[in-house]
Amino acid sequence: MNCHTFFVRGLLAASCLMPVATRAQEATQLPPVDVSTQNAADQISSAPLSGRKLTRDDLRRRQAGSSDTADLLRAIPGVSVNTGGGFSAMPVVRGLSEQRLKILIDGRPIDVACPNDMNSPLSYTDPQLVQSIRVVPGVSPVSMGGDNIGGVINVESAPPRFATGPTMLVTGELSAFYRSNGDGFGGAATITLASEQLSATYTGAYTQSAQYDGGGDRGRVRSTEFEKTDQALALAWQNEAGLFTLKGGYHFSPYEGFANQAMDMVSNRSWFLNAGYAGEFDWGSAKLTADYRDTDHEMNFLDDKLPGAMPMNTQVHTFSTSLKVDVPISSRDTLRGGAEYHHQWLDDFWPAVPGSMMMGPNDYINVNAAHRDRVGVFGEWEAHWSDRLSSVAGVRLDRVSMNTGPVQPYSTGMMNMADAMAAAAFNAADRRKRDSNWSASLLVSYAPTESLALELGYAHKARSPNIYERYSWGRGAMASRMIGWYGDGNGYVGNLGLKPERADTVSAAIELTGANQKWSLRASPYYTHVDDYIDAVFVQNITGMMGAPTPWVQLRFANQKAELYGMDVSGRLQLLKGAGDDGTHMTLALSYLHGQNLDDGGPLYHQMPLDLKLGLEHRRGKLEAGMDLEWVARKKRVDATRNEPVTSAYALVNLRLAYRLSGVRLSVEAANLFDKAYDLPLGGVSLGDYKATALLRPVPGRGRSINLGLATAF
Amino acid sequence: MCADARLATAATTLLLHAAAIGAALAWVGSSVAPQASKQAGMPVFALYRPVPARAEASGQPHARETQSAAAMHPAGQAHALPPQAPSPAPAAGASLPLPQRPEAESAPFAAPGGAAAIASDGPSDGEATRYSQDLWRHIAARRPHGVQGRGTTLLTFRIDKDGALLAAKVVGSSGDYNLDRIALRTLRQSAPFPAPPAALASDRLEFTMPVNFH
Repeated sequence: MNCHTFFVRGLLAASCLMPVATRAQEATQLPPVDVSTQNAADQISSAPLSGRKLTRDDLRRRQAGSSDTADLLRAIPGVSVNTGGGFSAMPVVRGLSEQRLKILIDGRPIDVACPNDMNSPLSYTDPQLVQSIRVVPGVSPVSMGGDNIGGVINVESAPPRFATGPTMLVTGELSAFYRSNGDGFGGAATITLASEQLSATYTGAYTQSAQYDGGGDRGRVRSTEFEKTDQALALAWQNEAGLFTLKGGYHFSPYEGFANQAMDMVSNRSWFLNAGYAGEFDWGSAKLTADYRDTDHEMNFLDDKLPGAMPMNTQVHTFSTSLKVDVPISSRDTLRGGAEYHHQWLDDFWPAVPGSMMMGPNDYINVNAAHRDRVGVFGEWEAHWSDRLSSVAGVRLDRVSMNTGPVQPYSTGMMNMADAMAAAAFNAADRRKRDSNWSASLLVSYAPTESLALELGYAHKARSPNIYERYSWGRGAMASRMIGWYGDGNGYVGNLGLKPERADTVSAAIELTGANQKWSLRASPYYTHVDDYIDAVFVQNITGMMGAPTPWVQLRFANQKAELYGMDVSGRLQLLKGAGDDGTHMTLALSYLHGQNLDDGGPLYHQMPLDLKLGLEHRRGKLEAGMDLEWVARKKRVDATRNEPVTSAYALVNLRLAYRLSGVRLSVEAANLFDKAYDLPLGGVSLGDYKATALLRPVPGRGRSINLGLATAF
Repeated sequence: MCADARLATAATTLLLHAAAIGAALAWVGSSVAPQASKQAGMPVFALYRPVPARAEASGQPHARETQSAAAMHPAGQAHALPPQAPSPAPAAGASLPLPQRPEAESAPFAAPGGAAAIASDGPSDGEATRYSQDLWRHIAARRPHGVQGRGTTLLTFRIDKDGALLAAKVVGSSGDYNLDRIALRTLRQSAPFPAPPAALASDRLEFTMPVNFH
């Protein structure tokens, strides 16, 4: 459409909207200027084409099916999850796992606070309360965050809402669900009261589930029960100076079973306070955040892993503050700069067990008041060369400093000799670490026509090892098996000599769109080379009492070289078009990934096999119906070093139906309709079952579940 | 030693942040002081309390106005928006001028005057329309990028015979003050505008324009 036509049409539209006063010689009405958040070129720094977003509508459709936010992210091509507990799965983006990602909740990072990563960042979110989730893979602009090589996941709560008149705004959303498999149920409420300047939003969610049954003949999957509650109060005040926000919240989980860990979570308490300021000025904009989080985490055994006791406690305090400034220096160029300070303090100790020969008489001090501090600064230049061509380039420096205090084993007796010697060596070593990590990113977005958009990106990213990777020291079989977030039963030993991972990624994204958006197809190939990739090398076989063999090995974290490449494809085809949003369309998502350890020549650990998802969605008036088909290939590329199990190919079918009745959305879903028996490719091994049955198997996926959902907004 | 260094780093970071924000606030705060503009007619980025668009038809005074409101609405004009002197400002930000709360309601986006000028008869209508197109294109080409948020801000502004921006203000808030400011900043940074045709009377150089964030 040429500019003149657009102007005239816009003018007509504006004239229709505006009641026309007939006074002569008054203000001339110009058509609206549209500031779109949909155009990829416009959004290059906040929503590049290679990234994807789940909206509230997407989440509402699926929230009855899972209480695990990470699990819902699997809808995005290129995202898979390493199984955790019922709400603690760890996302993997293009083969790079959670520790390599920057996961932000409302823009704030949440630190590791468990040697098994049981309270992963997304475990503090409930799908019913999340407004949107954006996933940007490895070429993310440096302004989105440092200390990651795999990309950024940003979970956003609803932004503060204000009344647009003198009447107080009262709005909110209520939801509830029930899942037949595991008798899971829960609910959530969001309530906002707001005037034009003040806004208060309460959010609360509760969820619980018993153990689920695997598909077909897999039977009960032990250690999969959970319960948790999340509550928060968000206050916002907008005034002449800008927007001020303050949000505090509390999370409590009294238990969460872990099918693939030796331990279970028996208590997790966390509270936080986030403060923020956002202001728009004549020269640009500024955002300031400051936040504090305190977490008390306890592990022990739930019923399936009894008898016995082995308390393990972790305490973490984190404090972050950041400043980001955007300065538009011309209509084409914007300069962006920022600084960030992040402090993590972590204490991890395992209290002595009275009467135990092995676990006493002293407490086992796993990590003694470690800290990991990071100061980051970045500069970025965003340029919009035309309506169709834009670029963003940035450089970032993150300086990470870490240290920890001396440690101690349960005892220095014969049973703990390996730990005692390791502790002595660890205490004698220099544990202070300093890393200066440079990152850079360049993205170019080009949309030559309405039906074609292209994006090219390159990034060099670096991240320092986390506290457990560097400071886990136990060499005894049991102590080392308590470390690790892989769900494989193996023992992991930290490495003081670890260097930061450094990754170079090139990525492209191409999107083709048909006339009237009847179809669209997006393909995004990528290649990542990682220097000093933190993998694990064999130390010894782990033996049981009296030297009996076990299925486990002890491994040490080590820097190696790795490469990952693959392609994500997604598409959408309109089959029927009705009035408004009515219609029928088909969706496609395909992820191919190849991860290789270049040092040992074997496949990287926990790499998702080929994954194809097809969907059919139909909407007519108040009725929504959908069918999903997911096919996952056999996982035969496995990491021999870690005894990774092969998993078979499988296909799952889900059916969904929803109806709106008097403002209430009622939904019913049959997940895994045919009760297909399958093993989770990234599920690890089922240790809860192993303890009870002495049979070792991969963690089975959930069998058929009828999920009922209820949601209403007011 | 290590704790000290950490504390010092944290304190320095916070101080730097506070200083930057303070400076920004002070700078903007000073820019709304009720003094005459250094360059006559130059717009000043206004800190204001926006009022929903529906306020306009109520006839209530609701200036979220720069110091040049008077220039924008000559006295005696039926729809003039009376300038409101900023109240004494002991501190930047909190005590900036607040408009009266609108009491009545009307349709959204009610602009002062509506689309009268383009549609009206007159010897210079062709020129006026062409100039409006040029003006709109000029501003649209400078729209901001990467803005998060949804809403519509209605702006009104006045330019002089050379295309310089005399005054600009928000007459309909999106409900999000920061979005309103972005809209106003976009307009201000688009200036100067193409010079209007000489035949266009100066009292026809006032415009309203919605900015849709979506």
